[in-house]
Amino acid sequence: MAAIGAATARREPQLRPLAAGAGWQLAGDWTLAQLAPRLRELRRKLAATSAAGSWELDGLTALDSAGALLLLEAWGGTLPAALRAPERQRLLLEEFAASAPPPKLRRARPSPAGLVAALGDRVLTASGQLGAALALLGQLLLELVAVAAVPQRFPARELSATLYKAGLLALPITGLVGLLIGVVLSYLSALQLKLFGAETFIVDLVGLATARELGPLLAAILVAGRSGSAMTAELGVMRLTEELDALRVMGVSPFRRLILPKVLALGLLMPLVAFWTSLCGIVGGMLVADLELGLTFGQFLSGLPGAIPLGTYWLSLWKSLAFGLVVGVVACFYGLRVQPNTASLGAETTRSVVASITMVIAMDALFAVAFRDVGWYG
Amino acid sequence: MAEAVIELRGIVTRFGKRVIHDRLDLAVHRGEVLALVGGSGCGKTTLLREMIGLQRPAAGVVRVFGQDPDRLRGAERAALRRRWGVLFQHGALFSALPVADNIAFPLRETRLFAAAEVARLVARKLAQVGLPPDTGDLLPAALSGGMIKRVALARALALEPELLLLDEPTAGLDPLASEQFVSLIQALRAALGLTVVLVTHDLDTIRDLCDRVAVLADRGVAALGTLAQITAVRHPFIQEYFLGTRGARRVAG
Ligand SMILES: Nc1ncnc2c1ncn2[C@@H]1O[C@H](COP(=O)(O)OP(=O)(O)O)[C@@H](O)[C@H]1O
Ligand SMILES: [Mg+2]
Repeated sequence: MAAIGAATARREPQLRPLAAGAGWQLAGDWTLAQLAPRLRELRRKLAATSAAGSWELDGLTALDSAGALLLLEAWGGTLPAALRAPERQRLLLEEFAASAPPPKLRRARPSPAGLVAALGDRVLTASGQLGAALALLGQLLLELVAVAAVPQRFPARELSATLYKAGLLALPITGLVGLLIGVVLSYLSALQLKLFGAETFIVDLVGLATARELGPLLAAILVAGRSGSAMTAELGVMRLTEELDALRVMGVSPFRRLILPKVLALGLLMPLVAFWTSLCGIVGGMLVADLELGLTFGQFLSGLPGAIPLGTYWLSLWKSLAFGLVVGVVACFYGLRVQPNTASLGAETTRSVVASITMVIAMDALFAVAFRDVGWYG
Repeated sequence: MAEAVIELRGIVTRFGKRVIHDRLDLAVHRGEVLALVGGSGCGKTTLLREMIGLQRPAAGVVRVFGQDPDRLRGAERAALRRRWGVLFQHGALFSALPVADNIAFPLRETRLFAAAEVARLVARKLAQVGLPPDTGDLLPAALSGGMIKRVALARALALEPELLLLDEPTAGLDPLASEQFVSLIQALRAALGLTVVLVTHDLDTIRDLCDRVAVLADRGVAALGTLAQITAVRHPFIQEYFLGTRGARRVAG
């Protein structure tokens, strides 16, 4: 340790004015490691020198790009006329001085024309995306037709794997969220209903709200966040590592092998998960009804068939199927858009989740308006 | 005897039950170029990772510049890490950054240089590894295999390291590029007194560039010495590797 310390001290970079006449003398290691701790001081000293004087570099024990850069900056980019330097160091300095000026870093400056161009760019990108999404849908339909003709070519294993990962493994979290929302909803309405003495209507309120809206919506949002993001990232990494190309080269269509089964699986599992979420919501509501309003489980359950008509179940079922397909298609669409770098992987995964949740909620609103006459009594 | 830049004593490496290195000893001297050779999967990359503290051996002592990279913390560790440059087997470029930013990254982290100076140094590094300046704008995904190696080398050289660790730097390069690479390392070494440890399968590179060769086999260093000394060792792997028909031509040539 001590030996290394002593060696460091000996090789400290130095800049001294010459005893006779205008000139400077360099000594020691002019390398990044040695320069770094004394950089400010050396820069100051160098700024006070002039390339017109004579320079003696014989004492240099080492010189690297960082040292050369500092010297050339002090000299204004060219070697001084009166330079004495060891051959190797002179060569490095000459090479550095002659090297091409660095490429300009391109930075976009905002300008009015640029803003318009940026807007146009956005519109074009958006319409391009829409086109690409339609192309993906078309491709999936074609694959579906092709698979329907030869059902044994269907990647059933991938389908069942997705059912398990995105469906079965999602049950605890969707159940918990459903239960909690049921509790909140029931508790809030119990307070109001008590005021009017309309306690039994808690069954209609909680039953309808969870079975018709909250169950499908919560299930879709949770599955999009849980499995949609995973699908985007999976496909994205497969693009990054050229695994998709490897599939194509083997004559296996990634659309059929990877995307179609995932989308179909989400379509299949979403109604089931939605039903489970609704169920848990109703259980949560039932608990609160018992505690807050003294409505027994038996009373609650016998009220349910009268509160939720069959049409509501059908509506929820179809709605969830649509949600599942949309979440799957959106996830795969963004997965295929991932560029081969890590930043793009993160960005597309974020976009995928945001887009699928937004679309699910927008579709839910559409369903609510379009089927406003379906699934009520009276 | 020359000062040891890297010293490995009694290194034991295990992955699960599989023993990769068993009480391995190796010393790398200041200013030398040492080649690590050995069959695929014999633990060359793992040994490099242990040298730079990315992986801790199950037993044994690692010393780099007299210090244990695994034991240091904070500023000391950072200071030690700036003294070596590493070229990973697959480049390990930051895929989200253009080439120029990849090379500029360690320079910017030092906070010693203004933007213009960084750009100048990056241009210099690109020229050093024989890449045209406009390569700087490309993203790593747009590079060929050989270009990736060069950019990774430029990045490893960015902080002017004293010690260079190269994992298969010439694998995947065409013969001309390998030769250029060899002369580049020779030039750097002449100018800066670099110490270099490189993993390679390329006998031309070993012959032209390396002072000593360490042969990894049987979970340890089976032989260590100059190419001439190595080829005299009676060991089935060495005989096969250096003196098979292809090898013999090259070692002699
Ligand atoms: N993270 C790891 N987990 C388990 N085994 C590993 C790991 N990294 C390397 N190995 C095993 O250690 C051995 C040595 O690997 P490596 O050092 O990469 O070999 P090479 O000499 O080809 O560079 C190989 O058999 C490899 O399978
Ligand atoms: Mg390796």
